[in-house]
Amino acid sequence: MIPPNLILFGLFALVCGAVLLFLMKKRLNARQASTSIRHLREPGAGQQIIFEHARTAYVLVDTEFQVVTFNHRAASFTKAIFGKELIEDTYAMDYFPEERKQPVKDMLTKAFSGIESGYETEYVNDEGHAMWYDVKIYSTSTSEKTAGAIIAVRDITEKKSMELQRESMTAELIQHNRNLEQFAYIVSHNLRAPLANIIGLAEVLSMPELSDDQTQDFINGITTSSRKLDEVIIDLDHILHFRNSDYEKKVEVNLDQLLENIQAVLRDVINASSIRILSDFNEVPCVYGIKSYMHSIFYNLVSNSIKYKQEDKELVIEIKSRKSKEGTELTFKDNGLGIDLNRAGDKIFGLYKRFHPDIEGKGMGLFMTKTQVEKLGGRISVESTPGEGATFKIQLL
Amino acid sequence: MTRTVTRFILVDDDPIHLKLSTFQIGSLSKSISICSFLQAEKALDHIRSIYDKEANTQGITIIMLNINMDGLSGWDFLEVYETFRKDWRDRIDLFFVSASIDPNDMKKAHSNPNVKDYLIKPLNRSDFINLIGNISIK
Repeated sequence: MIPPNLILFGLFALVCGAVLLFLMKKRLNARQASTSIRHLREPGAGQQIIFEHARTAYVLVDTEFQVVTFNHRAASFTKAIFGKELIEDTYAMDYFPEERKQPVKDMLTKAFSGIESGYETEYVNDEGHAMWYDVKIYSTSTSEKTAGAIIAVRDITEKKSMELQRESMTAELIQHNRNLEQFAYIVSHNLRAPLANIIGLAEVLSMPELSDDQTQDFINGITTSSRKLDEVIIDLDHILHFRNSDYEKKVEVNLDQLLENIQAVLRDVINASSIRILSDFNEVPCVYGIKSYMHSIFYNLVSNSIKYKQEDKELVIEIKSRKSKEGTELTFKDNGLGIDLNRAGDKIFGLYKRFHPDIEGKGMGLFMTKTQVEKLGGRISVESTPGEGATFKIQLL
Repeated sequence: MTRTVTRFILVDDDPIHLKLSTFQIGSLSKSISICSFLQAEKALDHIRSIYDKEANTQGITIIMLNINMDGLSGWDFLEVYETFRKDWRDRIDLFFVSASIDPNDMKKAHSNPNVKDYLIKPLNRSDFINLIGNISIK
């Protein structure tokens, strides 16, 4: 039999234990909560953290176009793009560059009545990098009384640069494909032309009414056409072989030395007529490239200038190198015949394209020059006024 | 109404082709006059000069025009030709002649009302017989 006071004591102890446990647990909970972020579940607290840490910049603007509030990212974007401190209760339009003010204002006005709009834009940031932003402007509320607008700005530079890279790659591929089509067309035409002559000449040679002179004439025609055909095949072999040759190493090419070599090769031609070659390679004395390509580019451009000089005028060729945005720019300027680019257009660099029918030539030089410049990762362009001369510009990386 | 071919104007920057065509036409008819030009500009000048003089002459002129030429191409020639008076063009049949078997060229030529047909080199004797005897191909 257990005495009743013992039962009482036992009960008392149990109650005390429970109370103690309850108190301890409560303290423990409180301590845990202070080291976690659960308190952010309380109204407003968590949203504030998310808002402040968002990768997207948010600016809230009221119907008077005043800045109501903004997050941390918005402040840093404003600093980086516009070089301004973003401050509450200021006129939002003041932050934008002149040409953007009206369009943004219009979009905000539209947003106040519930219409969302947006645009993508490019800015140069304070470090001089081009940055792309996606801007969305939309309403905060459907009720007229509380109407305001949110300007949300997202940095899309990485996505955009990949997009631009993809676009330029596509454009390059399209151009490459066009070149190949052009090449196939030329092959078909320039191989068939002499062949057609040989077939035609063979047919008339079997006709009975031919005189001896005519027979000889047509046989000569066959010889000429066969040679022409062979020449085209050799050219094609040359081009195809060249296109597949990547074995040559890039080296430092001294431009003064290169030009000296070219002048030595062309000495007889240069001495025969009045030609002056002026060069200035002080800004960029050397370029990094494949030596034989550089030689061929210089040779073709200089000999072209000589070939298409004005008969009664001293030819002056000015060759310069200078630093450019992309690397090095070489210019070849002459005061020769020039070329009507409205007519010639981009065909000027085409294979077997010729624009001065009276002057001997094959239509290979500028085609090879362009191919070689592109092989070196560069670009070539031309400006010209007929009768005044031509300027070729080469951009090398 | 029968149409009689009285003249050929050959425009091609390939002298061998011109020589061959001249021989082929000459061997078929002694009465047809043949003018050949290595440059399109000169052929256009020639057409202007003859049609100015002989406003009312009968007979058909056949122009055989190469497409792929240095300087003015066949297409460039055609652009100028299209500006010529209609009564001149009514007495001219213009043919494109090319070694190219490029379908784009052919399509473009066939869709032009001023081009009678697109002839592919080499042209043989029967091609010329067709041209002289049966000019209304279209």
